[in-house]
Amino acid sequence: MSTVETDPMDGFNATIHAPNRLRICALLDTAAEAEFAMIQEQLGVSASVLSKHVTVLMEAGYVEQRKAVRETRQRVWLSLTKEGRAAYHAHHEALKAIVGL
Amino acid sequence: METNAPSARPTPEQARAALAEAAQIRTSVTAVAATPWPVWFTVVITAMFVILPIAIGGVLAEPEWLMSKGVWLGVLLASETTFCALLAVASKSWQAKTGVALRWNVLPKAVTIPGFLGLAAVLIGSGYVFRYTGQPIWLFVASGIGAAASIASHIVFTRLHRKSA
Repeated sequence: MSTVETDPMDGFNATIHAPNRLRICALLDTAAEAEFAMIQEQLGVSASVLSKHVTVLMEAGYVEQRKAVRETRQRVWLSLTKEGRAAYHAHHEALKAIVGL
Repeated sequence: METNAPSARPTPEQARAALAEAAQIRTSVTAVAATPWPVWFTVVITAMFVILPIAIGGVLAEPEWLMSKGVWLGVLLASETTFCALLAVASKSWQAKTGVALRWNVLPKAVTIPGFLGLAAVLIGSGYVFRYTGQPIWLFVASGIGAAASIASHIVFTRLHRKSA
């Protein structure tokens, strides 16, 4: 019987690695679900920049959104999909492998 | 400027910087998730912990204590229903204020699980102790422990939030 060893570097993900996208994934991994405006505030980026990165992550199937109305205004809540969470964790492990942790 | 083009694998220094950025955002979000619940809801939880053992004691009392078991059961159900409704309001308000989902794992499980089980044992167990001893002091002691636990957890969250903010 043989065991298959996987290389942590296989988890390196260029889509997630872009700095703001890595931070978005780290935030959503920690918060489970977060409102668009809160993410924008935490990252210190404009709504258009955040929207661009969220779109990339959504197209990759890593992030999903939920819309909710609060005080007559529509709010967008974002969360990692199951695939997104797995991809982020794999990417995180790849980064740790590069550093040698 | 960032692009969507695939990037080369980072150097160890770049990877270390990326990990540090991820760690920083995790710390920041954890601070937000540790935002204490509003004081009015702490008062509600504390009141619930005060009422709960006394109402359970009334329901379990043999013979009946102060009021009929049916009335005690009504008090118990009314207080729990009110608490659940206020919990829903406070939860929605908290999420709207913080912009993050509620998390039940902000404090370590090694603290929360034994604390929760211990508190449940005290609140419910005091009713049985009262039933078999007939001494209502046990209900009041359980109420005091519940109220103290509620206030203490609010203080812990307030300090945790200030510390990590």
